[in-house]
Amino acid sequence: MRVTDKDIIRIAQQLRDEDNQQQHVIPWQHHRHFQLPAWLVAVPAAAIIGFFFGLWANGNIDKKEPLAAMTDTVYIKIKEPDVTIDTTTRLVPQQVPVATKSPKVVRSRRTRSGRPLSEDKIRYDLLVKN
Amino acid sequence: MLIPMKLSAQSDEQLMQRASRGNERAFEELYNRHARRLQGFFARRLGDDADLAADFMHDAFLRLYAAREKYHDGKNFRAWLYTIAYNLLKNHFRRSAFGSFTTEESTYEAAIEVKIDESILHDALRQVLRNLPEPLAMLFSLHYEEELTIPQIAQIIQLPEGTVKSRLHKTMTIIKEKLQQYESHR
Repeated sequence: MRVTDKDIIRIAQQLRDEDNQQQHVIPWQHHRHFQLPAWLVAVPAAAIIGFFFGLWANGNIDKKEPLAAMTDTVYIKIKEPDVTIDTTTRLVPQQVPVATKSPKVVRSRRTRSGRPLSEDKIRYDLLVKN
Repeated sequence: MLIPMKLSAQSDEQLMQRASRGNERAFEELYNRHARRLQGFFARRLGDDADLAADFMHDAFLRLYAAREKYHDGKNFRAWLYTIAYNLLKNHFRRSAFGSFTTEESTYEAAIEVKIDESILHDALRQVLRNLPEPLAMLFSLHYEEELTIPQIAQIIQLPEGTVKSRLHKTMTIIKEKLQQYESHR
């Protein structure tokens, strides 16, 4: 057969496919070094940073004055009142507002229960009143 | 409503974009698509040394992985991958005494006619391609085997497109010339 450029290309591509099929390719995960997931690094790191920050913050508080000293209390000086008791002051009766009668409240009647006092056999008239 | 596309349905460039944003699965999909072919390319260029080819493929993908954040939209993924592969081979050939990576221009312009039986052609072409001078074999491989375009090859090997075309033509001429030897053995 007369060999053309196309024949050469076609057979070269056949050879390529044969070669490629023979290749033993290792999966990508085998190539890569083991990597920890990002969250597995971030969470303990945050905890450690938080712990040291807490220690630092606590140390700073201890150095300062007690909590009571830190409150914003303002003391102001006021004048003492000049109060004199006037014994001659007359008492003027104050007008007491007249109480208006409120409508009667109807109380619910309770029915008596138990025994009458006469059946107690106790001399209530003899009881000493202190 | 936006429906997320399956990774397998996405183009290389879309996957690389995702990989550049930290999507590991997208990068793995790219690896699964191209690793075998790239390893085959290395094997042919390194004289069928399977272990060395696997190492080169590994190295190329690790370099790609390391540089994934530099990927920008519109960059052709395969051209980028083969640029890394080409540079690895170039450095390898420079270090080893395997062969020189520079070519001198020559003026091959003879129209060669070859007549070989197809049963012989398969093995004959394999032999011829193995014995091609490395820079020309590389060009042939990139264009005809890896199916990269001439502008992509020009970008990879940093030569003008015209030079790439003329060298490809020269390569084809050399291949035919070498195949003629097999014609005479019939």
